[in-house]
Amino acid sequence: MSDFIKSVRFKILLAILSVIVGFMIMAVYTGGAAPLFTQAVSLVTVPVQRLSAGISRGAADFFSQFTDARALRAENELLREERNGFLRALADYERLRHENEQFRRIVGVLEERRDLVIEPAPVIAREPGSRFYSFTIGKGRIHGIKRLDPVMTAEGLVGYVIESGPNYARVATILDVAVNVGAYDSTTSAGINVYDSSTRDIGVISGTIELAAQGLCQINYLPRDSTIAVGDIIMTGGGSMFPKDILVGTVERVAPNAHGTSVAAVIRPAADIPVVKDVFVITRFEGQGER
Amino acid sequence: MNRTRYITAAKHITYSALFFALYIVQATPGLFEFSGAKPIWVIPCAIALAMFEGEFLGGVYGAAAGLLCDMGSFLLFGFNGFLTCVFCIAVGLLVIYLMRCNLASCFLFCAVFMMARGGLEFFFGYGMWGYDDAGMVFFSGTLPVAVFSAAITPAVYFTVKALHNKFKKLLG
Repeated sequence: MSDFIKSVRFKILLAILSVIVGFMIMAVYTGGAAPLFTQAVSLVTVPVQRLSAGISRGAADFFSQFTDARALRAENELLREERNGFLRALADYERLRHENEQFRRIVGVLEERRDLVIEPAPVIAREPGSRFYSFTIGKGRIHGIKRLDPVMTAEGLVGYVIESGPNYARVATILDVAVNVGAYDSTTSAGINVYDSSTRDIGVISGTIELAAQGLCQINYLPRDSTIAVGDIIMTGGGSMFPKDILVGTVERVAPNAHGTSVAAVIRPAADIPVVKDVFVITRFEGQGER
Repeated sequence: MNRTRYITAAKHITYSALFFALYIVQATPGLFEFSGAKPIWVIPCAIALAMFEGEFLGGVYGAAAGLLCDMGSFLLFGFNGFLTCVFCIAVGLLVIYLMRCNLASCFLFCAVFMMARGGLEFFFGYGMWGYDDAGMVFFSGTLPVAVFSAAITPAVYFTVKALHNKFKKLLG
């Protein structure tokens, strides 16, 4: 044992540990930005990860038609029930007309959003035990993606970029509890401002561990007299971090907070965050803050 | 002399390729995923390698395995690298002085380390921040990852053992 401590090998291992401690100190001072090691390794790993993710996706799609027969049957029954629900809903013409107007307005707003510059990117990695379904995408700084850029799918908002490497970027989702408490960055400590497209009430999106397990998040700090209701559509309220009027999701249930001072509602994100495979990164929008 | 050098180089290239392949398997979305949890492949591989190759190479490959895990981690970069490096050095020394180099030891090392690493990761990532229902993350995320990672130990152990024996034979 003492021979080992006196050996050159021990000194080399100490040097390696010192370098790792250096990485840790560097990460503290650069706010978690990936040090040189990650960026160098990613140059090799990202193309292979992109390929393996594609192969894995293709294989999973192929085999899922055989292995998911039971799930498909259950889904079929669910869809049948939903169809019956929709048929009943058709009778309520006035409500549908009102909803239709709402959708037209939302679609109209999005069509008018010429200020958005988007970069499509594939999801190439999901690490074991990833935090609140966070993932890595196969595009980064060389594609114009910066830290804190919003990330969405065609369905709705997914999250934001927390780290941008040369050819990859890591994305935190709106299911993350840190979105509320700002554990990662002071820029996000105010949460994501959103509003109810029916009542125009403004609130803040945040995650909880219990809801994240079900793929849900919540909107907090709505006024006590808010008339927010199940099925209402929630959109981003704008600001320097997120563009205005990006669809977040729909209200699943409403509840006053513990102190009765405001109202909170559980949101089902429009994007299927736990299994999302392709995303869009919004690299530029009107009113975007400096990064 | 030259032949020994070539074989040693080939050995390290093979080990590095194995690490690279396992990292890709580990990070690929949906691959070897059970109930939303995926095993960590590179750390059991580093532990097995430390058992066969000793404390020095174990420490070096342990640091590399940990840093690969750090690339996708939300904790401070270097957290896994430091822990895995120190643990693999300890594993190398334990196998030289105290314990036997067999599957049971490897499984024990992996189970203990994955639980300790998961526990620390949970504490620094969730526990100390006082989030509501933080225990859910431990039982639905941290624990399954540790269990799955320990469960894949035999596959990794026998792969590393086969490679080690092959190169040992070639080196005479």
